[in-house]
Amino acid sequence: MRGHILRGAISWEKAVRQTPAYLTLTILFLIAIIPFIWACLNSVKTNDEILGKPFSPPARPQWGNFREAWVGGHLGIYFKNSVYISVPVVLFSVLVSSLAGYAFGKIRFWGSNAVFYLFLFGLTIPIQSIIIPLYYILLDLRVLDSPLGVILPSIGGPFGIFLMRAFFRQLPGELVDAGRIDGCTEFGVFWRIMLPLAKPAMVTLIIITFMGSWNDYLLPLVVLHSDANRTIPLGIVHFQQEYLTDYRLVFAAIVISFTPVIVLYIIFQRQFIQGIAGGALKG
Amino acid sequence: MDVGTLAPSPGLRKALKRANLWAYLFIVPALAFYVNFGLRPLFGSLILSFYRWDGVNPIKKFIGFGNYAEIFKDPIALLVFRNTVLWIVMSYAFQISVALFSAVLIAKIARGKTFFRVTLFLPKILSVAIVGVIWSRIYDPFIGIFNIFLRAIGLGGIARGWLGDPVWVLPAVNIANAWNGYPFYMILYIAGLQSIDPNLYEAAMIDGANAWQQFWNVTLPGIRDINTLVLSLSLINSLRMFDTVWVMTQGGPFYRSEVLATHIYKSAFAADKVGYGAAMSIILGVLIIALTIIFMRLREKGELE
Repeated sequence: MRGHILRGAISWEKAVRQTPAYLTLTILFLIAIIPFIWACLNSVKTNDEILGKPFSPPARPQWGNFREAWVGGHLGIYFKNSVYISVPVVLFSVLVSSLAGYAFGKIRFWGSNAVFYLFLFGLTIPIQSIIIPLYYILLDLRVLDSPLGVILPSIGGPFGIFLMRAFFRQLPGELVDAGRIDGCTEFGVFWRIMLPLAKPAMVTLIIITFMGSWNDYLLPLVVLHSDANRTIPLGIVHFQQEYLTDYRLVFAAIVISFTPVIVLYIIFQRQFIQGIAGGALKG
Repeated sequence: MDVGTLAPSPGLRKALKRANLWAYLFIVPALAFYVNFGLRPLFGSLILSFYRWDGVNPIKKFIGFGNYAEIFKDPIALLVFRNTVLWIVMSYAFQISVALFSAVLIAKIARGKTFFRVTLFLPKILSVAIVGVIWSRIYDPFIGIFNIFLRAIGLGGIARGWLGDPVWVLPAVNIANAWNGYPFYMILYIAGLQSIDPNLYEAAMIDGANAWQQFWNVTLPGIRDINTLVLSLSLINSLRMFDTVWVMTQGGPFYRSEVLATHIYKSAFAADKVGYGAAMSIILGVLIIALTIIFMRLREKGELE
């Protein structure tokens, strides 16, 4: 009985001691969330309301703002372009990185270390220091101002190879040998036995690659010039320059652009956080 | 690379030989992309940095290290270096400190860990373009909530158009970038904190250590490896900063928020100084490649210990 009271007292004391921690975290929570709420509120107001009453809800929600931004601001086109770029980048990156990662992780071959170190070097190259010649390479390939110009340089970064290599390495080698003895070709072993086992690593790679491609800014800025080819990040920046003082439309456009990512995040939050952090820890 | 521990049977040996050939086929696609869109343009930057070229003229003029000499004489380039150093320092001050602080708090609290981790992470999932557009509005002199907030706490006197102010533009953009950037480092710190043995804290408490002493003597040594990783990633990300600055200010006003990457972009794609931009991008590349290799070494050493 006495022990029970004591324990209760300790946990109560602990809760009190943690009040400052909760208060601080609540402030950080508000800082994280207020810009979203503010943007959502403003997206259904009139410009006068945005100027005059920053935090009160609109007298009458202006749902038409969304349609105006979507149609007049070409957001629908930007969305389609972003999908057309991100989906192939993710598919080809995962395939190319898995293949190479499997070779490095599970096959012994002459020169593997040398090539591996060559890729390791690639992990250190920032896009900023290659973007100028990259522009002229893409010009020669005649893929400037086309989705292909963004897709090609985005495929199969060294990072994915490391992630997949690390994963394949820790799978048991007996599985590979069993497949080989059963007469599978090496590609069969990879495709039918190993790749299905690599799903967790692939999920991480898909999230990181998708986020990277969907949110990419510098490469699309350099490659894509015409409005018809703009991705969402390029489009939203262009949009705010175009509609500088038509605040309600800028906010409607902001809300339209972040909504799909937030929906994905709410569904896959654990994979998002683990994927993004795990990538940095393993890479 | 363990390919079986038993002595291979003849059939397996043949398969291994074939696997050897397959391996080359498997790495060829990755290698093709990497060589063409990674190594080749890196080499191209190096070559271009020795030429004077406007990007159109079929003739490039070789000037040796002329572009590099120009960079170190150019007052704008010096301003750019200064801004980049300031950006690094401010990122440590605004991002890394908040990341560590919030991670320690989340690790400590009894309930609601997941709630705070998930909600504080929210800004990180936005593209930097959207972050830049939202924060340009937050700093807006007419509708911005930043000035509204300042007036509410009685600091209305310092309210201004933050992004147009030569002195305050760099910190303002850095804070916007921190809002979006710190959750990533926070998650890394949380992962690091989880690996600390809770018994160490109990031992410290028995020894009468207060919260600060516990942080200093148990927490910090316990997350040393993660700390190295976070500090190096932040440094590298600061050096290569482009998009937040570009979206919010394009380096203005009067180059007061210009950083290395925005200057490279402008030189090559707006000012027709392709060689100059390439030289700057090589300086940036060498810095980042060297730093990354040093930090990779440090991590390997840390893992061996």
